[in-house]
Amino acid sequence: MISRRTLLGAAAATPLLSLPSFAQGATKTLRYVPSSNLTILDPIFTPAAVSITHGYAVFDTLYGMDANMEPAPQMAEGHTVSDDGLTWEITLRDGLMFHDGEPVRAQDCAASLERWSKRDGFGQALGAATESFSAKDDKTIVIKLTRPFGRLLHAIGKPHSSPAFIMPERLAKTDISEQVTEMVGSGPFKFMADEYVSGDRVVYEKFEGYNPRSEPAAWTSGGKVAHFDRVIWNIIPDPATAAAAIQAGEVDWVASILPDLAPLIEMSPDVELFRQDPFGLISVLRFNHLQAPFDNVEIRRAVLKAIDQTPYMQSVTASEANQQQCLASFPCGLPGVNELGEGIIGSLDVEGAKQALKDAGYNGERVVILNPTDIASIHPHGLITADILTKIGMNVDLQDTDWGTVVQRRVSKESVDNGGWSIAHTNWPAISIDNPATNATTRGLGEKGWWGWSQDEVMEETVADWLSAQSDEEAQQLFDKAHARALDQVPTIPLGQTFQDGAVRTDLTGLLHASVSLFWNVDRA
Amino acid sequence: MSAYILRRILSTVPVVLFVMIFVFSLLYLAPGDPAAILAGDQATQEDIENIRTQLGLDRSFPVRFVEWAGGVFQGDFGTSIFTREPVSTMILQRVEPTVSLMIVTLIIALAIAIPMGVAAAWKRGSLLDRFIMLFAVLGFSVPVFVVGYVLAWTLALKLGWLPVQGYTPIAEGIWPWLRSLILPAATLSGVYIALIARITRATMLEILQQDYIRTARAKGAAGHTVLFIHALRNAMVPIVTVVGLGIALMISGAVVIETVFALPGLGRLTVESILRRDYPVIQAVILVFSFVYVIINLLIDLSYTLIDPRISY
Amino acid sequence: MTAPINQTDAEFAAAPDRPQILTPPPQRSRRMALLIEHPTMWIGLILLMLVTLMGIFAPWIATADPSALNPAFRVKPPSADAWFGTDMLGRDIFSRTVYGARVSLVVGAGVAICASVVGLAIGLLSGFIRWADNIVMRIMDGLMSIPAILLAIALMTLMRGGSVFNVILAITIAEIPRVARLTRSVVLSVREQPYVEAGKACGTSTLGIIRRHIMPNTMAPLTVQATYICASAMITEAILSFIGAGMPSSVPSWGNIMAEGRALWQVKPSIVFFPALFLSITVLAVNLLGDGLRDAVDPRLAKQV
Repeated sequence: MISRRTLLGAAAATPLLSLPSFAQGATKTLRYVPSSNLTILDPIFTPAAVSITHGYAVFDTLYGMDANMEPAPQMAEGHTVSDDGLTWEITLRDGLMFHDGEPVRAQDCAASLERWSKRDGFGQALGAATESFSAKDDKTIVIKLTRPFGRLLHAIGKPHSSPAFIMPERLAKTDISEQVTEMVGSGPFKFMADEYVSGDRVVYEKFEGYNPRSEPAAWTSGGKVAHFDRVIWNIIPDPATAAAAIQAGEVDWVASILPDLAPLIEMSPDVELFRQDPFGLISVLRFNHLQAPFDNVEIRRAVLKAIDQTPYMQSVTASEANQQQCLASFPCGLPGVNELGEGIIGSLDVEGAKQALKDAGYNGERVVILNPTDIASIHPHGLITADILTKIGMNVDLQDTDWGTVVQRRVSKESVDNGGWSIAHTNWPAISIDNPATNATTRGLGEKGWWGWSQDEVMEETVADWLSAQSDEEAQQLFDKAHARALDQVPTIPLGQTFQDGAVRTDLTGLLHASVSLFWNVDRA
Repeated sequence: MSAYILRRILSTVPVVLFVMIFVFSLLYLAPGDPAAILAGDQATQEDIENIRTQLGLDRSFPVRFVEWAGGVFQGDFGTSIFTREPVSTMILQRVEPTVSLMIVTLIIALAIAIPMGVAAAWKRGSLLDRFIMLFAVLGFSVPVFVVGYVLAWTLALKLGWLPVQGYTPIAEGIWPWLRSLILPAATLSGVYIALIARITRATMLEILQQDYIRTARAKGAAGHTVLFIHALRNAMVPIVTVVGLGIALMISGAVVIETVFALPGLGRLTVESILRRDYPVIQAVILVFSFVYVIINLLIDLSYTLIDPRISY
Repeated sequence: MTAPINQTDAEFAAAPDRPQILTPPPQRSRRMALLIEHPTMWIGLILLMLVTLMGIFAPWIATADPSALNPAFRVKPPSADAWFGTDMLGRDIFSRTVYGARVSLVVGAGVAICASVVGLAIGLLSGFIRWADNIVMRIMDGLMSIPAILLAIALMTLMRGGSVFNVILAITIAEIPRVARLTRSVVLSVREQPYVEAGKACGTSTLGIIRRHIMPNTMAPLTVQATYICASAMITEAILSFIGAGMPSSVPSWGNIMAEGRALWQVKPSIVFFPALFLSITVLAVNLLGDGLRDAVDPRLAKQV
């Protein structure tokens, strides 16, 4: 019965499957379903995961991240640092070429780093310590610093939320408030602009001029060997339809599968789950520090003590294997992160938190929770927070709107009576907030920083010290100091770590782990 | 006749103008800031303001409206805020799936509904009639996405006869194209079948009551078929009217169907654009939809003269 | 699907540019007789009353608080504890479905009433004041030319998200033109009738004409129209929620229960099935009622059934 059904399915699917090869000989095609639509092509302009995925296909980076989360040279041959730690020279390896046939020069890299350092959080930290990015000759990039920056390679090799992708100088000169729309990179795949239909499909072709490293591929480091001639992204907005498509063999790889559909994938022959990112997502509750009541640190602490991470994680995924309590302000499991929040986060019951709130001087100020109804992974958080806060005696006003309205309103610094807000939720890929500099949820930049605008000079000093730390011990000590400070000041409440599975056809081999899908190394058995 | 056509075309100008102003002001007033959506989670207010300035979103209503309207009259719909592609390109890329879906839906609906309506009228009061009419009411009452999922689950997933999702352009062959459309079109045609079957039945009944037909029927069964074709021909005017009125109905249905079956059509483009506040795209698509609606209704009015020579303008 | 145009529109005004044959309002006794002769209408009425009672007595019928979160007990199949199972946040679908009747009925009735009242006013205005006619009808044409669902989504974003009131408003605006057109066509044809002309010559005021001649002729088709608008509004509400532009999930509606369950239709069809069943039955009931009413007020069509 089953075999007949499979046979029928295969037979029915044949006319579709055979089309590309019919048209172009033995073209090897990988059909991929991203987790959302690709609208913004410039991966420096936006930190959206789907744009980063696209970025890794088209662009290359000077340094990649290996399996131990340590930077490893990618486009770079190697680097030297001056004794005072203020001058870094990075040499490019041979045989690097852009998709338009031009060689990659140090000038391109310098311009790209400069543009990146204006947008990305880690990049901005580097930019603040940098006098200039320049080229000594076509092969050598020179970074002149104003103060030591021990984490420089971690910064330019960061694997997520705007990695430092290298573009030709003419594109990298584009203002950071403007998107680069011409996709010329030096990565293993070419972007096929003619075939791109936003909201439907994105097509990449293997770049024959790419010269992969000889090391084995791991994370974003090592040899980026493309085995497929074409990679076609098929945008499927409905998660149920995406799951059905891979079961029917219409696609090879679905980046994210709704957790509740995972059992279905496990039951299907020829399809299996694949956890791309072993570090997952961190959900957070963000306070608005400019407005009452959460401008009061005692009230923030009271809420922190009332939060139980379990319901938040359960609202996203049913499976125990896809969630992990993480009592820390940094993502658990990453280098340098110790679980320091034990005994702090969720330490009080409802009655205790009620009392703590009263002691903190809460006067019944209205708490406006911005809640996006159209983002399945965030929407339940608002409901749960509203539930908990009501229980501990807060005057909660849960405001359901669409995501478009939430992102606009959450940058409003006004009071709640003038369209402002008190609490908003979001989630971060763990890897993008893995250290004191990149973790926007703990930084204390005030009104210049991330929405919520927590201001904390002590934290900022600690971050600056950490960035220039020369030894690993010193760095770890400062990391813990920053972490303890975050747990004390409660700029944000971490709501647990959840892991997102994707689905792949079982004939795919060599899939790499990373925070986004990578299309090299993967092959069809 | 040509004076009438001219008058009708001219009368559409204020309608389209109204739609332009209405849609533009609607979007201008709507909350949500594309610059904030573009900038992403890490962005500071300064980043967002820079982007807003870059996109010209900080300018006043009249300035933006005049610029946009001026462009539209020259055939330039502007550039998408998100993809930075010309809106006209984005729309052209999306036209084929939506138009294909509508044509196939219409063919399925007409092929099923007219015989149904005729049969119901012919066997008036019979069990068949009641059954057909019940089906028609059901067609109006069951949500289209429920029908869609049920069909997808059985025909595509369990039986594997048809693709679960996606659209194959007609350039890749008629058969693959048709295969990718059968499920969504069948789903979408439900309401249409109900609508057309009912109007066909009602009109046929009315015509069959008329004296000349009654007389003919009384005289014997010899001319059955001929009479029927004659009656159906007379029933075409209301049927065509319903088809025309139903274009708006079908567009609404297409919005949902395109999401369920992952068809890259105009309906999905609009919903996605509304949710991310891609103003130039929303404005253009709604304008196009409304223009198409106006034109189709014009064509339908004109088609009356072809169907029924007694009507003239 | 959303049935923004509906059966009456088509059947009453098949060729919009041609004058309509008006039937005098039927006498009361005959109307009652027709009601009795229509079993389907009675079925519709009874079903609708049952659903209404369910909505009114929701707090007593529901087995749990429809908004109570219980993520540990999420996505459970129907059982003795949760008759229809639970959704992704562990909320009881049976209770949500029972409460959902309220939203559907309020949205359906609200839109039907608002659209009828406003549409009637606009139609009268347009029918009596010649200079306004052109402007108003062009605006109505413009509104009608925008697909109803897209108009409603756009209006929902304008109104900063979902509440019952906003949903009613958004759908009403999309439905008004049809009522206005219907009313206007009645006004135009009645105005030309000899007895109305005569009345006008004798000095009957406009209000008098409206009261004596227009209203009796309008009420019947308008009631039928309103019923169909009610049915279509319920489905539009479900679609809005399906797309993510409708009611927030803190207020259970059949639309948003289905929207939350739609991703799981393969594994837990029960989440979608029960609200879909209730919505379909309710819309069916309203449509049956509308069909019955139509036949009752239009004996020309009724004779043929």
